[in-house]
Amino acid sequence: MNRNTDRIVEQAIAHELKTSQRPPSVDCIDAETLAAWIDQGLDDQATLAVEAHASNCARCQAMIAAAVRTAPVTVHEPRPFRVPAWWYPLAAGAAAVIIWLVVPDQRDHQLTPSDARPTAAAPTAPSPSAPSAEPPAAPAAAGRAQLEVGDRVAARAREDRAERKAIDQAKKEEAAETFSEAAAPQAPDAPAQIGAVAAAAPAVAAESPATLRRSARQATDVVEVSSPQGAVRWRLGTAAGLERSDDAGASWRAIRQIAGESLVAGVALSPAVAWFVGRDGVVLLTTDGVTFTRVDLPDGVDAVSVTATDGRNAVVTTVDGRRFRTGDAGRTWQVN
Amino acid sequence: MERAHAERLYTRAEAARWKVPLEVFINAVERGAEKAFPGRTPSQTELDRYCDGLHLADLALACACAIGRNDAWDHFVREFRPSMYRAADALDPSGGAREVAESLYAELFGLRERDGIRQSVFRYFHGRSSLSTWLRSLIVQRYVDRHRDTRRLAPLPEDASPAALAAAPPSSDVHRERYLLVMRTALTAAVAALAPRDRLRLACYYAQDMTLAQIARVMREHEATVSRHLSRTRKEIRGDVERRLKVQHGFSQAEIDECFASVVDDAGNLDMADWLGTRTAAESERKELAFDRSTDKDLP
Repeated sequence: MNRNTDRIVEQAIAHELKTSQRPPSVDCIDAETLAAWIDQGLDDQATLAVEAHASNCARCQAMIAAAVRTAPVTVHEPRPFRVPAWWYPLAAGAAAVIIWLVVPDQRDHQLTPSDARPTAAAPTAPSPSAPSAEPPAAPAAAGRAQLEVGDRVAARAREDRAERKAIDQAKKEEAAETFSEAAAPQAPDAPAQIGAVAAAAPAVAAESPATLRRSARQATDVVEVSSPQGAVRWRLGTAAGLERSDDAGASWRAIRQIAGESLVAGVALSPAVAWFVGRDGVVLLTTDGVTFTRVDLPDGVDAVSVTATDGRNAVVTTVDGRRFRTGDAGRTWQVN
Repeated sequence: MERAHAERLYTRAEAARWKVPLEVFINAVERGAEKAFPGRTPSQTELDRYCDGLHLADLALACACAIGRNDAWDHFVREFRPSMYRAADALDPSGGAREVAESLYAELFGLRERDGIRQSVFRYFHGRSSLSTWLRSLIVQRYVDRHRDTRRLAPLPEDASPAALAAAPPSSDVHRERYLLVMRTALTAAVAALAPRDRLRLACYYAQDMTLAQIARVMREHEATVSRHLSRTRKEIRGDVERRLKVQHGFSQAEIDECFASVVDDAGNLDMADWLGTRTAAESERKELAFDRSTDKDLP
């Protein structure tokens, strides 16, 4: 009965909506207003007025339906995959763990001498899997197993510390690379008390983020942002910086003072008005197509996309999923 | 409007490309602002926001076409005329709407003259939308009005006219008649009580047979959001109807079920378009096909 009732309600609603519409009146939406509503060119009050009228007017509804059926179908190219910033330390950590798991014999071999403790264990070191794989047969064996587990935990803690240190170093290196054009510093040597293999993992961790970031940058696809008419286009992510084309991409002019490499997305609302966002919360706005105002996000988190309705209203999405909204051309931002 | 501000807009619009006089351009912007802020003077902030949102390049092109700049007209013909025909063909693939596009094209050129000056429809473009959206809206408006006029003038089939329906023999079940009437009154009130945006979404889906994707596009929502809102609105209507039946008419749950059942019995007459015989062949065919409206497949 419930599903039947739902179906009945649907039928009844359809009937009601088709029969209770008001006839066309002088208040009907004209073509210019309809177009402005479709292109979001109306202010909030006018938008509400259009929707309130259209919700009761068969003619205006028919116009909306016909307008949407005549809309050109736009094909959105998929955005190139971008590795989020938090992925680098995570990947480095995962790499370190994998190396630690894959080469247990060498690790134990390296760790045991530097971490020698007086134990009642047999002179020959058991295989790493033995303590957990076999149940303790005697108190001595159980103690040995506990000590080995303790060694492993201590070694893991040291590795973690070294790894974190290396990642911090990598972040510093990354920051230095971002804010200056100087070459990236060399990764520091791992602490001497950690064995060679144990040090190898942090070394990988230390180099991985910067290396990956650099290679990701080199591999980053150039993002092209087109104005609605298509004649004026912007190109981000090239070595030349932010570039502008006034002939639909036939030729490009670099805007050198803008670091294009740090920009990742943009939206052009007209040949003059455009928003661009990038790493470290960078937000650039131009309303004349020539000069740019920097209206960065408040906490410097990497931005990944931007949508805008005009030169004042925009929504920027950051790498951590938050949405920052401005209604005053970036002077203030509200987090959603 | 301040001269300096107007000149900045003029530069942004690249209006000099079409040799549009500054005064003509300023007049066009001011006409648009008068329409956007009817009967009042906007604050500077409102005006700035309004101007920032304008499609200035399109406005400059429209101004140039309106005053008869040949290079601008050539550009318009090259860039926009094909899209006008595409829009017309999307409305009527058999070519029935081409006439509308042709007639609009003539009006854009400004065949009519007043006091020796060409009167172009371009003067009604204010830049609040893109030029292509405005052109599509003009075609759509004229096509819908022509279609409605044609339908209004066409005689109704004798046995389907409202009078004939009113004179239909009353049902033998008096209770069912009452339930039907009560049910429809409650439903009308429930639909009227909806928020305008909810009602518009519902009308697009049920009265205009738009797909979820089309509604999503026009309402600037995600398809899943549209679906969720439709579902919520249906539940709200159902709850409202049941509440009205209980409170206003003192119906028990059994009687409410009877009310719904009466609508089922009367379901054959539920669709007014079918009642009046005004559903076009294409609409009937679409309805009969029972296509999956969760997809975009029916888009041109």
